[in-house]
Amino acid sequence: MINVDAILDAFSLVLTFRVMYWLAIGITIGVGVGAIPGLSASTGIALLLPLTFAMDTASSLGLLIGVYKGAVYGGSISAISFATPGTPEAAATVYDGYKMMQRGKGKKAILMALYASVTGDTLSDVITIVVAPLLAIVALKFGPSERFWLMVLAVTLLGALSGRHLAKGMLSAALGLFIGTIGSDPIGAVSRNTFGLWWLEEGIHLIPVVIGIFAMSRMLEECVDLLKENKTVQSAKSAIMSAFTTGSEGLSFREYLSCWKEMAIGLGVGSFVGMLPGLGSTVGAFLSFSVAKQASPHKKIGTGVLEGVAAAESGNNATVGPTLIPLLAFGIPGSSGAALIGGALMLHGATPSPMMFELYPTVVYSLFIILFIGNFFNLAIGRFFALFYARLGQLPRNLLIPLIVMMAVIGSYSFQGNPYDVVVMLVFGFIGFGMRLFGIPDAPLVITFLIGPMLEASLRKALLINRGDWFEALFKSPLAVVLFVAAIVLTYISIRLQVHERILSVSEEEDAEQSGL
Amino acid sequence: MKIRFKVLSLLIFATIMLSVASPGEAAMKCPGNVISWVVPFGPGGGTDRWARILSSVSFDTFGMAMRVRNRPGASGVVGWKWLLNQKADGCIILQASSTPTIAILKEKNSPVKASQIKIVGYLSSFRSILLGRSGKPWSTLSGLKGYAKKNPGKLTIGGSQSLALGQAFFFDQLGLKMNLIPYSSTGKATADFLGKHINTIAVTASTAKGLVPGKAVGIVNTSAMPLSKKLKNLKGIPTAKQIGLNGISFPRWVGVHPDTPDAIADEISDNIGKTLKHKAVKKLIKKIGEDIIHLPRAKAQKQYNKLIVDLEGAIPLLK
Repeated sequence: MINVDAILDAFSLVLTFRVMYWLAIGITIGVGVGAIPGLSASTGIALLLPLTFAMDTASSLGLLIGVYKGAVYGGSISAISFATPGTPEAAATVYDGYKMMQRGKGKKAILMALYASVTGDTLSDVITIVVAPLLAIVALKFGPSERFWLMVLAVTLLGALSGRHLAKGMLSAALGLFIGTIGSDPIGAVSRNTFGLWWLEEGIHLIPVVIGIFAMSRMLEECVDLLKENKTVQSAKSAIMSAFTTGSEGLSFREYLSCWKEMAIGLGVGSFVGMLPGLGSTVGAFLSFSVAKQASPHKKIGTGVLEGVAAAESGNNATVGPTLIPLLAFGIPGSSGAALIGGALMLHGATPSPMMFELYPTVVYSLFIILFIGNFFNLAIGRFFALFYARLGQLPRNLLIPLIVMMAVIGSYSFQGNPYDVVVMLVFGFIGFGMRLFGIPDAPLVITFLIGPMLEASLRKALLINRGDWFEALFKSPLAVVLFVAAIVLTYISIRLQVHERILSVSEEEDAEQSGL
Repeated sequence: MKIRFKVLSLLIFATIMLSVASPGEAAMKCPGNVISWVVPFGPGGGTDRWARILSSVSFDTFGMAMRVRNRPGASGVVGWKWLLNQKADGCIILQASSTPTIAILKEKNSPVKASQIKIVGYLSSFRSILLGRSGKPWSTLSGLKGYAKKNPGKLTIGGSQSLALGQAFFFDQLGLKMNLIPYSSTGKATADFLGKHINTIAVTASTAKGLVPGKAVGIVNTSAMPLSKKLKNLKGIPTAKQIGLNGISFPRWVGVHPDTPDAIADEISDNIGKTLKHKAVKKLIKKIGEDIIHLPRAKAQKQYNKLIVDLEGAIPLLK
């Protein structure tokens, strides 16, 4: 039942100059933090948490939610401008965004990322506000068996990301799976595949992997090209001037609307992934990107088109509101960002628990209002940053390459202040470079690296709970059976689509040959 | 004139002697008057939150600024190893939980030994509390014992690694076989418990406070320490000690380089005691749902040595 008094109280608490001021500050910091590789939303929130000790509840929520929202969008800025994802959730944006930037359409890509982020975020906030308790109950139905099948479902989308050579895609996926096993076994916590290196005991983190694969590998490739071209520094100087003086093409409303389907996919997938504890916005972005690619093969997502940016960005921002659902309904943080916001709530005397709606309705509604209003601040502040970075990304390669390499090193180090992360990033830079050389797609590697450990942990937990009975572990609940069937159907559709696409491309080639004759 | 000179000389001599003889006064001098408080985990976790609260009053208690430095990696071992490579002057202080200790004890090739730390105090300790659902045969300790005897290995206990270790240690002493399901965080285990995918859950007092009585019932506190009397809804949950068993509590400890002089370690221990008594710290720690359970240097070191022995016994039970 809706508590009208609490809603009115929440409005009077939130709609003050002080709260709006902290919300704007939070978003400004968040976009900046997100744009710096290695610094994620949770790092930004954690560093600002002590500042909220002396603030009132609404202002501190404004600051922290502002940082959260701003950083999730901000990650896309450096992903598009420099192929260096500012945050892991922006990694899927690199595929189309950076290619657009290389073609001089950086401004268009960054604006699309902003509008898709705000659209996905706003609509998912509405979903969070309207059906939060109901969705939380659905989320609890997902135990280890159901999560396992959900991960399998995600892996079946790999076919869409493998490009024209399925075998190369599978090789990349296998490599990702192996890298995901490095570290400690998720159940017994025994070290495995660490090559005798003690610092690998905790496993390999996503940030150095994505920076290495997406940024460093591309820069190695560009370095090789540049050495071949042997351009002079003089030409670079003139290019800098032109980058800051000439305008580039913006985004029209028609173009924004043309991506409605991809934004809707991002909204659906992101909201669903967000409400399940432990999956997070990176999974949301990659799944949205994969589903959008699968759903519209003719749009050639992944080759530098707006639709790819829209799907990935709508997908990652749509997780922001729903990750708070388990926190508000049961006191379970759905992500590290949500855990930190939970910590801030505790500091202000509203301990997240299953009784949150009954005990602290004003705080819950204040949070909802801030979530919603924050999107409009994100739009205004994000646009300012977008225009600035779009120009920066047009710098000549002679200057851009050392800048991106420096950002990659600083980014992987600043993630945890751990020098071993720089080593990991460099190793993955060379792995990525090798993969590019042989035409092996990198998306399956990142997806299986991300999903593999979750899939393994879910399967092994399901087996442990059912004392080794495979049938019980896999098909205990009707939901698990439904997900299994969905995975089979999706695999079948995926194969059919691949075959259909193959036939089409072969007939196109034949037509071209005939017309040439 | 001569007398005056003699008195002055005596005063100067006495001042010099006093400053040399009083180790407490001269001991803590850190470069730039800043103490580095190392958190071997990323920002935002429980340890980080404690560190930032303590650092907010460091001028009042340590007389110096305190800079929180996150040095995460390899379950906290990277930060610990880094400390061992620094000067043993007490200016770099490590705050951790049992996580790096467990990681070191598990790892054959660990670059650090669990004993390579001079403990200067305990800030708090986690208790591992077992919760179940009401109306089930295992919702009381006696009912649970009876059920587990009849159905060995059937009853599932979910929890983070440390808390699951506490349960394993407890039930091993009772001779009961339980099905331990380790999770990467208490949050994920709680989700599976509320979704009825597991039978029971091992949680800390602050999590238990939010779940009992609405969503769960308390079965047993498998640590030696009783729960705070302020936690009224958790009243009556028996402790391992009351049952006559050994219990493991998981500390939030603070340590310095093992070669740090004892006088400096004692001074840090005293300052930590003062910090924990500070009004603002007490208030903020209470707000984050944790308890201050302070142990000074000598007691904390003794407990830590015992913890290593207990963990060495408990870790094989998880495999």
